[in-house]
Amino acid sequence: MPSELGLPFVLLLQTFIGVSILGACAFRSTRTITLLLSLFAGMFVHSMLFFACDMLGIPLTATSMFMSAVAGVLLTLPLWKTTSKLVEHLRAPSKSTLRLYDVPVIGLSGYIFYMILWASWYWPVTPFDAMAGIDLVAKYVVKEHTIVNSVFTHPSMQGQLSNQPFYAPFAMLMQSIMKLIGFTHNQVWIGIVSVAFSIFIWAALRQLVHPFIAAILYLLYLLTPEMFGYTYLLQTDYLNAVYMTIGVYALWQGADQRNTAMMFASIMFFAAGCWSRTETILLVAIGLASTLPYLWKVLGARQALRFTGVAAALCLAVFALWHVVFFNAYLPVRPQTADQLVGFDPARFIEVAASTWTAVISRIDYWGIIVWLFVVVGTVNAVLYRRIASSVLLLWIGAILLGLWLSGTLFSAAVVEQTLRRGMFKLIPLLVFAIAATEVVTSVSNRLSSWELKRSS
Amino acid sequence: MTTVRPAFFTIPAVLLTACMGLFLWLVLSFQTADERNPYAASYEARIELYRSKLDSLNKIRSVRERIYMRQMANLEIPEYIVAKMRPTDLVLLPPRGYANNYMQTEAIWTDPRIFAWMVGFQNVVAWSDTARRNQANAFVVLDANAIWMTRPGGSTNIDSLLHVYARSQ
Repeated sequence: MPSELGLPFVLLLQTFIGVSILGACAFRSTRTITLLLSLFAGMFVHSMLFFACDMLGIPLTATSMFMSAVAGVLLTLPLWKTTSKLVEHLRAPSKSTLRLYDVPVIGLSGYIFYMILWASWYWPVTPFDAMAGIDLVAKYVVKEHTIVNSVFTHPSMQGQLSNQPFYAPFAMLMQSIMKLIGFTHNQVWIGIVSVAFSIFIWAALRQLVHPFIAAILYLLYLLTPEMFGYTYLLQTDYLNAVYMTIGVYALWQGADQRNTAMMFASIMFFAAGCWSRTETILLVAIGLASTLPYLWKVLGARQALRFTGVAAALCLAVFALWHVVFFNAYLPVRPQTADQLVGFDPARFIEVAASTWTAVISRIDYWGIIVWLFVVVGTVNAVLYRRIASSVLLLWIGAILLGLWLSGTLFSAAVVEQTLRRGMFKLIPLLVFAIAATEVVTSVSNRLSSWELKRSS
Repeated sequence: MTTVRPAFFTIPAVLLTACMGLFLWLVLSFQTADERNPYAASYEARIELYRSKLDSLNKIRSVRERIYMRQMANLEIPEYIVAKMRPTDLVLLPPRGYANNYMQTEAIWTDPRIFAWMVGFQNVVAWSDTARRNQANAFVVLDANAIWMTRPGGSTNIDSLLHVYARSQ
């Protein structure tokens, strides 16, 4: 099948898988959000099924790649009794919510999306980490039809592998899938993920605040200098930020709306986070532990414990599948991560936390005004409403920061200016949501809506 | 959020569109005297730069050319080494510090993973592979504007070369 047809076909199958799973979770949101989250969920599940083929000894070829996507669709068919309600919801006619001031935003977004897709399609894989790991392994998956390929067995690689080929496998598996479709040298799927995620941020913000404020916050996110640079580069950090943001968003919305089904959908995205970057298991553990008392208060002990238990178990299982089962039972070599583990040193922790603030978080040239806008809006909100922002978002922002600081303290290879800078990608969309969800911004949003309606009638 | 939707085109919508235009100008075009607007700088460097070169870049169809534009000597040197290799050769990749002395960009080709990414798996051994490097029988010599392969008995003294390698780590 030509790559121009193979790509939409695979994306369609992945979206179908995602719709089935979200439908089974009784997930309800707007059509845009549901379809985009379905694509992300489908990518995760498809990559796992493709990985399962390797574990079962099935050669990783174009056929097994397509068949694993079809298998995903078939496996989720029994869920269609509950999913059909979601499909009905998606098919229901809806009125356009677009206003005149959305036109320039759509125009600029379309232009930027075109450049993202072009750059991710045009340029070959460039980052060192990807050439030494993700893309190198994917290249030889396609050549040798297995993940356990020459990268791990060739004599020239003995003792030379470092961490890169052992990165959590989502990016490598998706890169292999894309190479098997026919995109052998680029990373066009990263562009697709970036565009889909940006649209999700905009759609989610429109659910929270007046479309004008949503557009402003969305543009500030889209144009964030440092994040934008990674929308067409094959790295794990942006992908991980996508899954972690969606996980926290679904948990936050689920907890706020007392919608346990949506909360359970968040578990899948947290698991996908663990499938896309190794240290995520630490971040999820801290996040779940810090949210537990809040969920206990809001949902009761039984629901809170059930959610936290299932989330922890599933994330741990996904993490262990690659890092324990595959490493020990399949790969002939082990990563040298243990050599980079250093004991916890409070002085180093303080140094990492302090330098993260000065060298990374406070930098306007990296994050634009998002961080400082959050500080200002959060402070005003604290003065006026006695809370900085939504509890779930604030807890997860804190948990992710703490997790990054711990990673920076415990792993000698985690450099503040590099690893923790890219780790911030997880926080930027959450800060945008946190700003939008403050009472101050909601109040301005309501006033703007009333003014617009009054002047329009 | 209110559930009542105003029409697409209203007076408030026009006013808000003007505000949006002002916001976009501020973010993308406005630059302070000390050039502190990171959005404008990033937009110029990442989007406008590509847009201005889009036509000429799209004319370059060859994947190898596109890799070369990004990797330069990091692609050319592995290609040269593979072209000059003999079937019995085990080539010692020099330490990165040695290659950096002769390259303007970081000499990542000395990493066997990058070497394999560029030209596939070959009979090479990394300098840091202390267990196997003494089995090497072909060596890379770099000069200010030249590169060549040398073997025991050739014009280059191998012991001196290895000494230079060791010093440059």
